Amino acid sequence: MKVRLKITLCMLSILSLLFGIGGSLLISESFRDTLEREKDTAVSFYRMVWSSLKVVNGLDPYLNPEGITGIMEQLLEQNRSAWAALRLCAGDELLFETSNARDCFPPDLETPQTDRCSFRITGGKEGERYFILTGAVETGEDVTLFLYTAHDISGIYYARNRQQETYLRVFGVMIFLCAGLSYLTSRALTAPLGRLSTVSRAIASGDYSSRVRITSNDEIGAVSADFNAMAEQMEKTVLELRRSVERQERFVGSFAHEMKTPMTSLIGYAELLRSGTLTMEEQTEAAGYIYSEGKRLESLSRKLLELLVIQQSPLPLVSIDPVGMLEEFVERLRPVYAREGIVLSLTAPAAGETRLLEPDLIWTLLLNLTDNARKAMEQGGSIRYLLELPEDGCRITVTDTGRGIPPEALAHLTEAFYRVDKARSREQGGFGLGLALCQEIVKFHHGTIRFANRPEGGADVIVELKGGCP
Amino acid sequence: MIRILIVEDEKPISDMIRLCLTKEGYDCVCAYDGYAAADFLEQTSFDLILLDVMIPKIDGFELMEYIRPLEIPVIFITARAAVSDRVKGLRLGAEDYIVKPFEAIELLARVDVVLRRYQKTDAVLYVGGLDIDTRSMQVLRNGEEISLTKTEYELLLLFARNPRRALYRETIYERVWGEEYPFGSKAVDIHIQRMRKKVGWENRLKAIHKVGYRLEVDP
Repeated sequence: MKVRLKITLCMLSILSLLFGIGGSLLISESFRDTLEREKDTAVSFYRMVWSSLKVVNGLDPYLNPEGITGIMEQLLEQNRSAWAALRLCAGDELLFETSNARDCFPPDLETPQTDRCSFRITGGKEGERYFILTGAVETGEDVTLFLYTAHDISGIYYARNRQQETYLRVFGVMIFLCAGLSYLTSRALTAPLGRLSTVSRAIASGDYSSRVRITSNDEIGAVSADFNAMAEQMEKTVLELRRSVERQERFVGSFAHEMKTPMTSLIGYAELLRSGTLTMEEQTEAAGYIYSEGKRLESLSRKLLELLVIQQSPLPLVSIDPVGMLEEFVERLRPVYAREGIVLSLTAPAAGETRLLEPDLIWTLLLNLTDNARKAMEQGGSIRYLLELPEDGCRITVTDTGRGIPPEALAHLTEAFYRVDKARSREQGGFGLGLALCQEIVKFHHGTIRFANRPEGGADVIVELKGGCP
Repeated sequence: MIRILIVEDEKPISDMIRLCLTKEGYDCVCAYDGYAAADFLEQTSFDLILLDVMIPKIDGFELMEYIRPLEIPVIFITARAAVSDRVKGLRLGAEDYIVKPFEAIELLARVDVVLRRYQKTDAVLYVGGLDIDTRSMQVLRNGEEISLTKTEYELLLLFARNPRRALYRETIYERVWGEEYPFGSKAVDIHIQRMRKKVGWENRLKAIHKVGYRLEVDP
């Protein structure tokens, strides 16, 4: 059963229960009041009859029967509408009776007791109802007078029935309206839940970008907002996972390729050699390839090992002077690079400040960056190093005058085995691991590495290290 | 002479394939990237192309689109053993594929199969006084048919296709039985002895100590 139907049914049952009880109470209360008033009137008329009789002749029927009849008729004349019927008896003898008395008084009407009044409500032939008041008074002559009065109260019953009917009709209309309104209200209330459910299903079927439109500020709106926040987070996580899987697949694929290429040569040439069909010259060539490809494998395994070592082993940071270190680095490399027509220059603040760094890793980082810069330059150029020392670390910028970095490559530079130009990298004996290694070194120092092309040509590599001050 | 285009960017591998195929009497041309390969295809015609998937400039799959209208059989060379890659290659119209690392003898066998499928090589081999008809799988000596079992026939064919080449026991086993060589197995020796007796190659098919066998043929 849907929530909106449940709410509607609940509202209906509550409404009908309350209105049912309230309405019946109201009607029966008003009915009782009217009846009570009628009773009071009946009693006062009853008293009036007795007092009239007393005033005339001391209640002796045998003294003045005509008088009694006259009084009764006079009373009836004066209050025509007060009684529906009247009967006066003395013992078993009927003294006076209105014409319709036999219709109003039931035949089983019991004889009243002396000095007592009794009430009774009787039903007539055609649904009329009478309020019957009976009483007895003892006179001095041992005669008991019995007075029977009947008042027509059909009107009260009729009014009550009318009220009930009207009430039922109103009640029916109310229930109908209430059902409609509460259905509409509950639908409006539960509509956001439907939307929430639709979006949940969309997300479950893989559409992670699906979101709920929030329209209210209430609890359901809050749930929607929470749901959206959850979906947001989930989408991010899924995307991150997917990226990480893709990265891993690329890594494994590239790794397999890098391994299998030298392997293929090694196995192929070894097989050719051992089959004994090669000439002396071909044998030398084959052996040369086996040697160089073996070397390549060895270099690959060493680089991978370096990468793993940084990722896994906690090396201690030591307090060193970055200015001194960079000066030493540039001095050592300068003659080697000068032979290839590359000029190295360093801009650094005054020596003396120290930072927490891992010297071997920084040395490797600088070597890799310098080597990349060299590879980017075909015939000579310059490599500039700029060292800055902010409070919490150091920033090294390596600038070359080479060919720059293709824009589409910028995002992939630090991926393992990524090479901007595969053919050239191969000739230069690279694996595409250099910058992946640099990235790990920078990560080890809680820093960042950024690449940018210069408008006038060449590229900047900006390394920020957050080793902190000693 | 059969001309083969080798499209492979790794020079050592390219040279190795060329060396192998040249030994077998094929004429080889090496291209080191997609553009060079396309240039060669424009200039001359080839009987077979060996195509590496990961080559610079135009990758192997793209080059395949270019080759297809030329109706030259292609064997893919790939470092990726993933089924999806192999299926993709075959879907694009490759005849076969070889996964790196591979042995020269496997390469030769596949090249041979594809060439025969395209009927570019002779169906009948004349080796060591035998006529071997590879289509009807008949072996004749002086016009007389020799009856061989399937294994013996496969062995004979292996030696006939690789004359003067030292074939190692494990290589023979892997090629003929199609399984990894069980260490110390004598199956190769038993079958070879029976086969060479049947075809009369007792003096031609020689055992090489600690290695395997070699077929000696007249130059």
